[in-house]
Amino acid sequence: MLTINADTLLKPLQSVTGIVERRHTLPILSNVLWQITPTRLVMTATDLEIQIQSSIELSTSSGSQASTTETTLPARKMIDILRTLPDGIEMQFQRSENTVKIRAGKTKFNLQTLSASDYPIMAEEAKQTTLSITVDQEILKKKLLQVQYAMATQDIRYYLNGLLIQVKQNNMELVATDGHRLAYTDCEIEGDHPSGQFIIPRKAIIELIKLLDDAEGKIRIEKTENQASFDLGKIRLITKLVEGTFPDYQRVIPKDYEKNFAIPRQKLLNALQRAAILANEKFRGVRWVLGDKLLRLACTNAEQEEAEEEMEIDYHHEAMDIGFNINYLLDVLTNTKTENVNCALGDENSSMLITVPNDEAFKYVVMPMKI
Amino acid sequence: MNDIRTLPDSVVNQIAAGEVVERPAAALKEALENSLDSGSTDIRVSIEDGGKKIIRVQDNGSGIHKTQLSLAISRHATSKINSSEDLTNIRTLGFRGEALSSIAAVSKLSVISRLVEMEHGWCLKSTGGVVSDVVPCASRVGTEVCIEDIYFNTPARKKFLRSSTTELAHCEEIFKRIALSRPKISFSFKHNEKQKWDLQHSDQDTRINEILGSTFLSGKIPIQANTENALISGAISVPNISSSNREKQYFFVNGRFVRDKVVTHAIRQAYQDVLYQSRHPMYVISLEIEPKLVDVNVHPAKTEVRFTEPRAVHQFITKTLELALARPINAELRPLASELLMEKIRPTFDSFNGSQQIINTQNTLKFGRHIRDKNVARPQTGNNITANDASPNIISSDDNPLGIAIAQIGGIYILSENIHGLIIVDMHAAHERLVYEDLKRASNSDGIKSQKLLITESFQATELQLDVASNNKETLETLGFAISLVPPDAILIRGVPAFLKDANATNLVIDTLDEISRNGVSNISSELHNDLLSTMACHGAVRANRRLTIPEMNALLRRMEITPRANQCNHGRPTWHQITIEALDKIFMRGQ
Ligand SMILES: Nc1ncnc2c1ncn2[C@@H]1O[C@H](COP(=O)(O)OP(=O)(O)OP(=O)(O)O)[C@@H](O)[C@H]1O
Ligand SMILES: [Mg+2]
Repeated sequence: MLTINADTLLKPLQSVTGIVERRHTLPILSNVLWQITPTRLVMTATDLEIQIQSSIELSTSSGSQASTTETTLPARKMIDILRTLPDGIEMQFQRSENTVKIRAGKTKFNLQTLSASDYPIMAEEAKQTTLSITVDQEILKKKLLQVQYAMATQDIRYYLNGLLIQVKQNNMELVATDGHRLAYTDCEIEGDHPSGQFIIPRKAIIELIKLLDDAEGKIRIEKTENQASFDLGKIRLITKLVEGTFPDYQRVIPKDYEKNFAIPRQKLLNALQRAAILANEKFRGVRWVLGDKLLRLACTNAEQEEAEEEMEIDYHHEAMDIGFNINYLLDVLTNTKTENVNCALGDENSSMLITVPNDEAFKYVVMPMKI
Repeated sequence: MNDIRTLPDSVVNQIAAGEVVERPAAALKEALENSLDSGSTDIRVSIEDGGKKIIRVQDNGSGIHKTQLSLAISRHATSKINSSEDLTNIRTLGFRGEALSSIAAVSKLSVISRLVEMEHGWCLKSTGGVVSDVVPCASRVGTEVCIEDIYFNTPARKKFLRSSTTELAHCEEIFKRIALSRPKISFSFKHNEKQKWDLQHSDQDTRINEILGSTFLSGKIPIQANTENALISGAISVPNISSSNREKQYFFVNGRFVRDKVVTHAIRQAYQDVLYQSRHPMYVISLEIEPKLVDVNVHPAKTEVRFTEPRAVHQFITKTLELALARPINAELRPLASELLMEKIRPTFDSFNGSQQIINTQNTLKFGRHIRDKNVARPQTGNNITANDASPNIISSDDNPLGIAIAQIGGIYILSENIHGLIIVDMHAAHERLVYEDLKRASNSDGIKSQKLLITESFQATELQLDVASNNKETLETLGFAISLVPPDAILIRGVPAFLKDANATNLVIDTLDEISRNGVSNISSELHNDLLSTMACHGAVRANRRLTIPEMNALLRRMEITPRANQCNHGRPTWHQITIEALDKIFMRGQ
């Protein structure tokens, strides 16, 4: 049914198997759907919420040969087979009733298949696309990495377990929050679009980031009623959208804080990492005591052990004493790459705003913890 | 109308007998107490027909002089106190001089007694309180009281006697109480010539095991504490094996069995945090207290006492028990530091004995650590040929009493393996306890931290909730909440306890407000405070069906090991259960 070089198969297959659950109640979801025509192999995996499709062009010039057929093959086993075969070896797939024979050099496998007609392909919504935008893959990846860590994990407010995309004219905003801190960024997109917003589930965002290329290349994002699709050329990801209304994020991003100061990012990160060793295991508090040109960081754990760090900083405002969840600070500092970060504070009960030089778009807001 | 007359003594005594000897067991109690007061070290009880026919108590105590024998059975005659001042300093069980006369009034009584210095004993016989004779007779040193045909002259009372089995049960219960209160004294008990108990002189722990062995089989916690003028010792049940009634509760004040409200409440309170709703703890506790600080003269049967400083006693009991109950799993299962030292010094073959005692008395993990059924072929430590090379390491150390996590089942239970076999942990119950203890600890030290919300939540509140919220601002703040009322009827949540930052804030606040209103709107006592924290902890605990990773499970187990009271959830349900290899072997009929 198919003759193909093992190297051509591995990466496209890997890009769809990321969403295959290890233990799923529906056995067929451990398999990948293989749809073959003489010119093309399409592999599809789904967990019923998200579906990823990856296609390989087949041409006799590259040594591939195929006849039209479809079947499903176990995802993990195929990945393991491809990984352990010698580089560049040619593989022959031969389908019979319920099995597929694979021959590669002197190696033979005989795999059980499940019927392709039973494979639960996600129905793509009739194309009443409400939004269609195009962005550079590289930019989208960078922007997603800047904000994705602020998504909630298993919140009852399910709309927080995802990432908001808000489109307006030639601008796209990306926002994630777990209710205690929020990460925001935006970027320019081609064309002029009607306003619209949608929430992508957490798992889809994580998969998408894996699929995005650092190299050049565009990605087309389309939104229909309850789905969004991400088209990367050879790969296509479809996901159900998270229902619900995302909180009004503009309202919580402070605009007029006056206590501004810059801190060397790496230095602050290292200091916090050390202090975190003795932060209370459960609520992870760290105190920031700001005085004239000095920042003192202090952590205490349940055993009353203490860690303290001092940093000279460029701070000329009134003294302040404010507490934060140290994890929220470590998150933003490890996910930004600039030399310095800018902090801005209101009073002890209001949030801190963290921004970075040379990137107007990025904003991170974190609420204090009363310590 | 009849003339008023002073009643003849015989009638007075019969009336008094109604209070003192309500049934054979009560007569037995009085006779036994007299033997204890006389300094006996060996007491033998022999009864027939549940005590209805004969109750005989023989002791080796100081005895009664021949010339005092008839005095002993007359009313208000006692050698134990002289003046009313003495009443405030009672060190004996008897003090009223009423028991023997009451018993004599309703039975055929004989008292044989011999002092050490006498060559033979003297025997007094009385029928319905009328002394017939005092004659010399052969006897051991000490006293033998024999109560025959109880109620022979009061048919009305006799009618109320129950079957021999029932009366025997009551007598035995009295005997057990007395035997528990004096482990150093030897006791024996015969019914219809059949030996039922034979207890040798020993210590408290042994005596408890002898008498309540089966009750405490799955574990008891020893207690021991003292203050300047009080000393408490004994054993209490691990909460998992509580009882559905109050029967197995033995509390002694200065060697006297009592049922006292202050005591019961104090014990209840110590268990409140760990005991499942309507269950009752089991205990044998003996409190030695300066006699001046307790009044025993408040109840005819002397089963009630009055403490002069009830609050101090209450606190002493509660604190001692709480401490014992709070011992983390780690501490319970490991030899104490001193014993560890011993182990190091002693040759290794002895080390098992060195720690066995601890393991035996503690919790459910009471199985020998190094003993395994030799008939069972099973890969053992040091034998590194195992059937399956990929099998996990065989756990051979006791470093982690709750073992190493293997899997999660049903979205609810964590399975782990420790040296004794399989452990099953109810992850929600366990986690709830951990969060609760965290909250308590935080609120007792530097307060519960509050995480401010960036995305605030609000909900429509009932009038009652609004009322509670506005009247308890401070309490709510100390609990880590930041809440404002938004007229007309909304409550806005701006901050939640940092421990519970990932919980459903609205439900958390609603439950907390409801809990406050249920228990009165103002004035939060510390007990109530704990109830509140417990309610809150439910929201912080991992929900069922949440899949945990193996490292997450292990982290939970390790935290349980060092957290006080981690054996029970906040509602007293057990959090974990051990299934030993031996039990597994049974299931699979290995080695049989
Ligand atoms: N087994 C005994 N050995 C020595 N003396 C005894 C014994 N039994 C009774 N007596 C003496 O007889 C007296 C009367 O006993 P009785 O039990 O009637 O009164 P009590 O023990 O003084 O007070 P209570 O009525 O509170 O028990 C005791 O005070 C004691 O001196
Ligand atoms: Mg007496």
